[in-house]
Amino acid sequence: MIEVAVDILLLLMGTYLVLGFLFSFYFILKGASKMDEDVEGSPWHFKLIIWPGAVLLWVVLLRKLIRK
Amino acid sequence: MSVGYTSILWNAEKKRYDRGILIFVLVYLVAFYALHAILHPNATFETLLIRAFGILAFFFLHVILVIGPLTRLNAAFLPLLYNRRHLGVSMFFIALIHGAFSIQQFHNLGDMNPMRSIFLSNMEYLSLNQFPFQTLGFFALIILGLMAVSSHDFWLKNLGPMVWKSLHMLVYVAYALIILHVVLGAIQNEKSLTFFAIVLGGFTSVTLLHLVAGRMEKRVDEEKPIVDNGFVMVCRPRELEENRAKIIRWGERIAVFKYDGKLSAVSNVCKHQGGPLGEGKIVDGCITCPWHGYQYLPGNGQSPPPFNEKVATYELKIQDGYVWVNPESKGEGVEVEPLNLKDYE
Repeated sequence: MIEVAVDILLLLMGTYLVLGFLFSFYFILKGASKMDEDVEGSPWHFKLIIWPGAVLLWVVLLRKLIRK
Repeated sequence: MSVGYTSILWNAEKKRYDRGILIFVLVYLVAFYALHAILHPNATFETLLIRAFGILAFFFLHVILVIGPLTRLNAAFLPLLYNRRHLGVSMFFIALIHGAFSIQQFHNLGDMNPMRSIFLSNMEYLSLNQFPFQTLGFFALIILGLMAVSSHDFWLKNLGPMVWKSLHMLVYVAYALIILHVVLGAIQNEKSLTFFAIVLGGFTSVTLLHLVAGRMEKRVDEEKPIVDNGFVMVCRPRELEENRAKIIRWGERIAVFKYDGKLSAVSNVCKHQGGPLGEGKIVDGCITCPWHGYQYLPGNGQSPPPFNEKVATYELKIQDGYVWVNPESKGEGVEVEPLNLKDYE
């Protein structure tokens, strides 16, 4: 029982991260500037800093981008 | 502030602070290894590394958690608050090293996938003295990771203050998980009562400081100011310290600042993270938030160009030798002529 629960949990976490990883490329290249005009022209190291956040918080970001 | 972004907002003070963190970490690691080489000569390098970084992350988390209440009790701690974010991110990386080496050492040497091993190598979930404590550390590390990756101002602005604050309040959940992680882990491995006493001391300090600071704040909030003709009494002008403020509460909290022989009143709430502007001071002619250094001109509540944050301003008057403030805001960024104290001498 615990094994099944752990496998499901890890599968969900893995899927979430893979989707977040894919989404993060779009977000860094386009989405962030669309969401916040101050991102336009910001240095590459700023985008590198926000990249892990885009992977982990992609659900919130995607919702905000769709609403926009 | 919000014109363009850069990766890390460093200024001379923050660089000094970060150098301080780095030197502390290096001195601690050298001392830890030297001490363990004498006390536990048979411990492996990996074991020492896991212990050293685990204890350091635990210590830093305590420091981070007590900075807030300490600054409420004594303004001398404000520089620590101003730089807390860097300490938080440093703490996450230290915890990550502890976690990564623990997984390598304890879960990556068998046939089982290391992630599955964290949860399944020990299934004594109903036992107190055999509980798989690593699982608690794993979830705490996820929370600390979410906080670290969302610590940049970009996230505060774009997630919104509510979501951002809720996310960062999870530090208390992480703290509870880590306390259990440490205590349940120590039950299995640690024989010395000193270790448990230190953990209990840390937990008690964090709890007591929060309670004392909360109580003090509640007392300030419960003070009933004198009201006359729609104006709320603040204090006598001489009771105000130069370049500092007095905070009064009448619905919203209002900070009344004294500077260059003048008085101005603005909202006490910083636009950045809701920091208490009235606990900050005037630096280079600007009200400077004690939390992250956001600045506002006292006369109009506007951030100096090119920044564009604005806080509400309030009308002041002097009557019967006392300063009074009209709690009806003039609006955010609205110019209000400062009260010139020379006119009332």
